[in-house]
Amino acid sequence: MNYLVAKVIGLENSENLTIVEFEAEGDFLYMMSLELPNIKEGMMVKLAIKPLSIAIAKRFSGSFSYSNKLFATVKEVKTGKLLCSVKLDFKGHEFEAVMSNRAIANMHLRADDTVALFIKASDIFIKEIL
Amino acid sequence: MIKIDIQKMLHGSNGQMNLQVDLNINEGDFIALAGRSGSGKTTLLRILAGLENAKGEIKVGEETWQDKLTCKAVQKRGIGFVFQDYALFPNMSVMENLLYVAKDRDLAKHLLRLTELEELQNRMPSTLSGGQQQRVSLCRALMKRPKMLLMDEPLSALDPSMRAKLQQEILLLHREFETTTIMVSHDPSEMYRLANRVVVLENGKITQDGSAKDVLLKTSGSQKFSFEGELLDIKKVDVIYIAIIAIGQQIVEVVVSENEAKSLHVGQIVRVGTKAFAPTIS
Repeated sequence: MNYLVAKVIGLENSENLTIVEFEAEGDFLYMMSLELPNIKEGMMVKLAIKPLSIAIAKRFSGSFSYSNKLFATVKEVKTGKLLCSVKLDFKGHEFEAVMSNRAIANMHLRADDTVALFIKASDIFIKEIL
Repeated sequence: MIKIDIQKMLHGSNGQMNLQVDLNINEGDFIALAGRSGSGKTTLLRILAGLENAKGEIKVGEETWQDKLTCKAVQKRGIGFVFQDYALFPNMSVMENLLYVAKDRDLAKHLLRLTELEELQNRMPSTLSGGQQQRVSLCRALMKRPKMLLMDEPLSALDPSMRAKLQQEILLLHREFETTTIMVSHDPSEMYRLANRVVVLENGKITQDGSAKDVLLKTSGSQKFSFEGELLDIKKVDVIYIAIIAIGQQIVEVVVSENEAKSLHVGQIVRVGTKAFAPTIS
């Protein structure tokens, strides 16, 4: 699991659906959620993202419908038979992304590559309120 | 308004426990009383019924059922009681069981019609199924038009389809008679369907009190889809790990990463959660 401490900077509601905006390490993140009675602006929270929920793009240009884009540096690529685990550094935080070997076959990912991480707003969750 | 403020020392399997309940109930409420075995639920029902002594006060509207000076007798409290094991008189027919409580044949017929038991009115309890017997005992409990209906896990001995049918009938009878009801239950779906308020007892104290959704929705952080289970095994597959977890009567598999796998150990009680956006229903 990947964790990131973030500050709640905005809440947008439509009935019991909420989009929460966070700030972490100077970047903005967005989370889609059902009602969140305990979350208020200004709170510090620990966000969590599953390694399988992170998509990696190299030399990305154009638009993409994922709400969250973070830039990170590749530290290590561990390859299994079908899947691979990519260890990343996001502003000093270690992240892991897991995907199929096929998905990154033509990306030639190497240590020190700068990549964009894409995460859907529905895949981020609050692990705990700090 | 029903005001309950009682306390009693109990000697349970985990040693001494002080049952201490301060609860105000609106007339017509349907309260589910939940909590682990030995938390004091049945004792509280028995104290309300006058079957057990306790210190404190019980007031129902203008009537005092119990205070320092008074302790109203069981038969004068206007209580209907439904137990898990039906407790019907075996030597009396269905109709006779009802009329034994109050000689009101019209009400008996009406109750039997509502619960689809009219055709069985002359049968003896031993010839009825468990579900039918429990419906009879429910009708019998309402024959006195009680001020309070107390039910101690009334449906736990029944199979799931019969349980769902009886839940419907309990709801129908509650809407018709508007009897203030307290039901001990362990079944979240039953509490959600029937009760407008859920009270949880733990070691003799009320620890949660609210709407069924507020009390029963188990969340983990912002995750709305969350269950408690026991970690049975953890296996490495390729570059990921698969955790095998027993939840209720089912086994589920959850993919975890290496750093999560390292912090888990077999036999551990874990919470399995995901966002409300991920699960599918089929």
